[in-house]
Amino acid sequence: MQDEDNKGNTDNKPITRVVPPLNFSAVENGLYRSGQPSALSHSFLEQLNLKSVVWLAIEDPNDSLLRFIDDHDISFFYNLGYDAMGSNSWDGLSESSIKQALEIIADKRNHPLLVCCGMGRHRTGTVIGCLRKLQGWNLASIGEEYRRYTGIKGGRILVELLIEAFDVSTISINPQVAPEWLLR
Amino acid sequence: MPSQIFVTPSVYSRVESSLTRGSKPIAANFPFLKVCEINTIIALTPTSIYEKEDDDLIKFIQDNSIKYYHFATDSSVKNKGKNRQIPITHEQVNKILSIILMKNSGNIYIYCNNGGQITSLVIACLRKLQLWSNVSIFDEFICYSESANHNDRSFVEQFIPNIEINRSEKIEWLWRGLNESVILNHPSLKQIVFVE
Repeated sequence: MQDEDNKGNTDNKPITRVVPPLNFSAVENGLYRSGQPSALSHSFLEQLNLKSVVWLAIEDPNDSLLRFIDDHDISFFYNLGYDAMGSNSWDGLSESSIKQALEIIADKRNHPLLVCCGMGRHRTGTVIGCLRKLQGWNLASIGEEYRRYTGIKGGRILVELLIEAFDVSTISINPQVAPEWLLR
Repeated sequence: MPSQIFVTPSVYSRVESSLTRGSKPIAANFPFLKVCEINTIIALTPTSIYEKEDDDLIKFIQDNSIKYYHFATDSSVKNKGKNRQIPITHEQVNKILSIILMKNSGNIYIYCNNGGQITSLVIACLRKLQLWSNVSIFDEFICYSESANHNDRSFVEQFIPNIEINRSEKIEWLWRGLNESVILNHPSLKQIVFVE
């Protein structure tokens, strides 16, 4: 069947399939979230024309992602607000990490931007949850969005508590460079 | 900092830059939908808001000059359990996709009553048109719908996009950066007619 369909082509390359990274989703215009992209997702990532990647896990991402970031001149933000040597990957994000991540997100010069961590669940969910708070979402909507990406094991209460307690007034938004969806 | 607290519709999410999804909006969601500057609403429900005399939503749509499209879903099919059936047809999905792909639809909000299965089926077919792998399609699907059963899977697998795409009026994100020849030669996009 496939051979029939491909007869007109000079080469018989496999059919193009688009594979987004695990737990991928658009958050707002120019802002995406996902788990750690594998090499399978590079062609998809290329389509996004990313300018920056925020990496929230303590562990380094895989080499192929680092190479992708290098090859495409993407700004890579990692080790936000902590020192990888002295941190434990089981700890949640600190307030200063969240604050730094949000300030990167609030600057549209960094967009299109991908926020990711190992699975795209808890760390990414924490930052996106705090972003929603900054956008004025109510906690029920924020929690529901967070849990939607956490898989069958469900959300962590600690993450939701962190989002609830996070003081968005500490984030300085510069209206000159903020994305328009953050200003309304 | 917004001065008010926004209540998003439940299972609200952004699908693409001009497309959002969720459940049927209630009055508490209107301030939020207003700042989202929604221009088009697509309803996937058994009855339209006019038949149901849903005055709040009718008024919201009129006050904000929103275009409203209703696609009647089949409420007679089994909607629970392992053998949950499909309340929507491929033909309807093709029509919905044509609306989604038009630039002049503006910002779109697409909903079914609970924001689950029916919306997920339409988005899955959109992803198929975007050439997503089936695994990725259902990975997204199950975030919004408690499960994806054999009916859901075969509905999406058997879906063949059959629409007319006007190149100059098409939104930009559909095949973001995919090579033109890939699209023109792709076996699953054979039924698509391009017009200039």
